[in-house]
Amino acid sequence: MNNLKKTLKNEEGSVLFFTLLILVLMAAAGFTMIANSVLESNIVRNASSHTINFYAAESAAMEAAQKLDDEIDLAKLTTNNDDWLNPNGPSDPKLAVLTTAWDFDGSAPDNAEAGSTPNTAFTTMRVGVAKSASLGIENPDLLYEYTVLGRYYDSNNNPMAMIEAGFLKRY
Amino acid sequence: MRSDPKEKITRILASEQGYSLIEILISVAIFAIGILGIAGLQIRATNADTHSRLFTEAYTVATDRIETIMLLPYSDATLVPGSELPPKNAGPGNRYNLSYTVVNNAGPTPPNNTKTITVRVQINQSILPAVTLTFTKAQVQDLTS
Repeated sequence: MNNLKKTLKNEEGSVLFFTLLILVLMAAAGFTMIANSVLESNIVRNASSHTINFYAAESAAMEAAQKLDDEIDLAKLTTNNDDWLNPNGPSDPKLAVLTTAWDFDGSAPDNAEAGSTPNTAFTTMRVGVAKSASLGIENPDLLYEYTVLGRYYDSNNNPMAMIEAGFLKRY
Repeated sequence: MRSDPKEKITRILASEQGYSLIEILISVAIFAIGILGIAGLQIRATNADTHSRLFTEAYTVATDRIETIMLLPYSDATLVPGSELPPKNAGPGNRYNLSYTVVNNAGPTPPNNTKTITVRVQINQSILPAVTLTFTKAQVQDLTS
């Protein structure tokens, strides 16, 4: 007991002790900084892939809108002639799965179509006559409303980004 | 007075003279080795943070240009393959070299009347890879149509 007290009272080795203490504290600070940097890198990587996925999904939706716009065969705009055109709007039982499962493998029945950008797909639904647009006196045609959807999938076929846009066509 | 060398060494070792000096020398040596390692950690962390900032800014520069292109008319003179704007410096401190290419699509996939535009942002004076973003501009996006 006396020996221990004596050892604690003298100051031999105290410099070494405090050196090691400061070193440990600085190492802790250094590792925290590394951990923060790793987190920061992950945030940046995540944000950049989100940007890429977002524009890929939007491109698919734009392809669908352009296909609708270019279609001159009116029969094709109102029937399920193409896999990606769902004519009965949100009431179509086939559309119940659109918010979760898209089928675009090319074998019927599909409810979507693969986009030109890899890992993208698009689909459209015909909502019907656009609200407050049916009273065209000078124009016998009606304005029809469509919803255009585009998605980006990752390599495991999980949907990563989705774009939903409205599209109006008069016919 | 004759001194025994053995006795002398024992006496030197038993005395505490110069102990503090040796203690401090050893401490400084250990501290120096430790601080060099920590300095390496700090440099790596700072580099990683700089890369993160450069990438974030490069993506922001690219998205900014994409949104500008989206607002241009579909048949704009700068959206014709081969006559895109030449690469130019942009972004904070003009640190980023921005260029884009346009491809006129022919149907059916991708459909007619669409352009595939690839925006590329290279970070100047950096070994970091260039940022590329690809998107499709459709004629229906024209606000005037």
